[in-house]
Amino acid sequence: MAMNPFEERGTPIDRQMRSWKRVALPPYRKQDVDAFTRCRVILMNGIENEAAVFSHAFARASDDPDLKAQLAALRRVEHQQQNTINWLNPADQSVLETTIGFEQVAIELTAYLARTEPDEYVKQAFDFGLLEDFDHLYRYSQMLDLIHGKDPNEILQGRTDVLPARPTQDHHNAPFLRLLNHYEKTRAHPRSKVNVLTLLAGEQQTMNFYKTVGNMYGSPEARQLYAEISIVEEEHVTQYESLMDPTETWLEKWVLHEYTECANYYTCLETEVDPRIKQIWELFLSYELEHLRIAGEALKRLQGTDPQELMGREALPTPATFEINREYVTNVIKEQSDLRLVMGGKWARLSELPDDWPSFSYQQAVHADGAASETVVRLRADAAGVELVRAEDPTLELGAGAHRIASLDANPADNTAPETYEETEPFVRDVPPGDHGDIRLVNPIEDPAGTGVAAKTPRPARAGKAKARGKRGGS
Amino acid sequence: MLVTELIANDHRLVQTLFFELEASPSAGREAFERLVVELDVHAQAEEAVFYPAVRQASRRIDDAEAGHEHMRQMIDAVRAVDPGSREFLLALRELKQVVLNHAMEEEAGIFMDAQRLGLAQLAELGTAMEAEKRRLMAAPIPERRVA
Repeated sequence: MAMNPFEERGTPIDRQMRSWKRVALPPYRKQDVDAFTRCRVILMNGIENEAAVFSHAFARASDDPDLKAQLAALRRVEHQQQNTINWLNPADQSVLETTIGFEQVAIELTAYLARTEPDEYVKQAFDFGLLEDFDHLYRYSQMLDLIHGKDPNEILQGRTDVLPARPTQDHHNAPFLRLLNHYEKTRAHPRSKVNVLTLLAGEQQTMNFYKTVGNMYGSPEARQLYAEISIVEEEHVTQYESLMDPTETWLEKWVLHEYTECANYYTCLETEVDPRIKQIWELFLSYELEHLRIAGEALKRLQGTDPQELMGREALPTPATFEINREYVTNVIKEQSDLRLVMGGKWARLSELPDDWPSFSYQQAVHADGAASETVVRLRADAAGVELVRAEDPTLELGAGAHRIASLDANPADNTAPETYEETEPFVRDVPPGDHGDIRLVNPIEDPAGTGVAAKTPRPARAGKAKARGKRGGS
Repeated sequence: MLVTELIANDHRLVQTLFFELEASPSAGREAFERLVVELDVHAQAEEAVFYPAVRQASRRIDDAEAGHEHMRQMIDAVRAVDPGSREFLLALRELKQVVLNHAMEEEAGIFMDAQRLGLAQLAELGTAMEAEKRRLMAAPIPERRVA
């Protein structure tokens, strides 16, 4: 696999707009799609989303009408590309099933990028994020079982284990701790730049997806779980974007984006097993080659920099490579579950964390009513007698509870699920199912102190409650 | 005036000159040379006053200096074509894009870095750059790098 995208010719830009019918192509069948085809679809949707986000930001900074016109033209095409790709996900794939797919992408993509990352510091950042996404898969899998009665392996197809890693309740950090140290644009390997941008794009779309669909379930526990994990994805976007050199010029960033898109489509084309979807990757690669040519020409004309000098002359990287990374991931879980972020873009072991670690107070605030990521484990254990774990190595399944507890920091949430079901106390809801007189509907205006007292006072009789609701509705 | 305000004003001025020149290309070589004087004096004053002072606070100065060199090459390219021709308009448009791109990078990047110097120093630099611009405007032509 070797290709120089600067020497290839793509589809001319004036032939890249397609009819609605050709944009909204039939979706894959979730019953027989290859798990890694679904991963490619999810990732490339994120890649195109980042293209749009970047292009808009660039256009807003620029005062050059000609450049803005070029960016606008490319955005139209890439908008259609994103529609086509994202809508390959079928309507009958539930939100949670798609979520499992997003986490499989996050795990296998991060693991592959970490394995191939030339910069040790960037690799460490990837490993750190990897263990968090791995734990998210485990938490969402409990919910998939609870709500849909489905096994995560219907989506994962046995290629990714479902086990606890660094517990999700510990992924919440004081915002500034997520700011890592950036690479230097003149010294960094081009592959590092492509890797960082690819992962950033994937995490950003994961954040957007969870933020958008977390309301699609009536279950308060599911909504809170999406709320909890979506903000960890926000932390990941913050973390990965902080790795990028802020002095890269807008034109350099543009070329890097188009180059990264070429690299990802090219990898998809080379590895795709579904012949129909392979054609889509091929078409879009030919579009992106033209986008790269346009961006590269702008860099050369407006900045006097040769795009090929900027991106190096090595073979095009292959970031979107989806393969089984089980051994690598298992090893990182074993060695790094107890790592935490500390000042200055560094990491420390749990045993080294100071008592005044800034994330403790942040976690106390967000977990004041318990951690949703622990609730879901308790609920699943209540329902089935065990937490849901899936691993090729059965000893990992047996040790899951112990690992989960051993990896907690010194400030666990009050509702932390115990190690095994034998110790589990039945999960007690604040209110009976279907009764919404709980804290979620307490109007902060009625309880300005935020003490939660309003929620804890005895519930009024039915008639009084109806009146109170009527009052809220009328205000 | 803060040096950043002075530079931003210069950017707006040359932008206006570009638009005027594009609107009435018959003004030709003479109007173009007036624009070149503005660009040249601005760039030289930046290199003499602003860039050395802000280099300690910004990693973008090498790029900015390279941007000036690229602009000077583009000015030569415009000069090389006949002012009445279509090539002149195309080359002028490209030079305009180069200048606008450079101004955007400076305002969105270097200006942010320059805040680290503090308002007092930015004001001092503004005074110094204004003086340098006046000196260059009055200086004999060979002292100007592209004129």
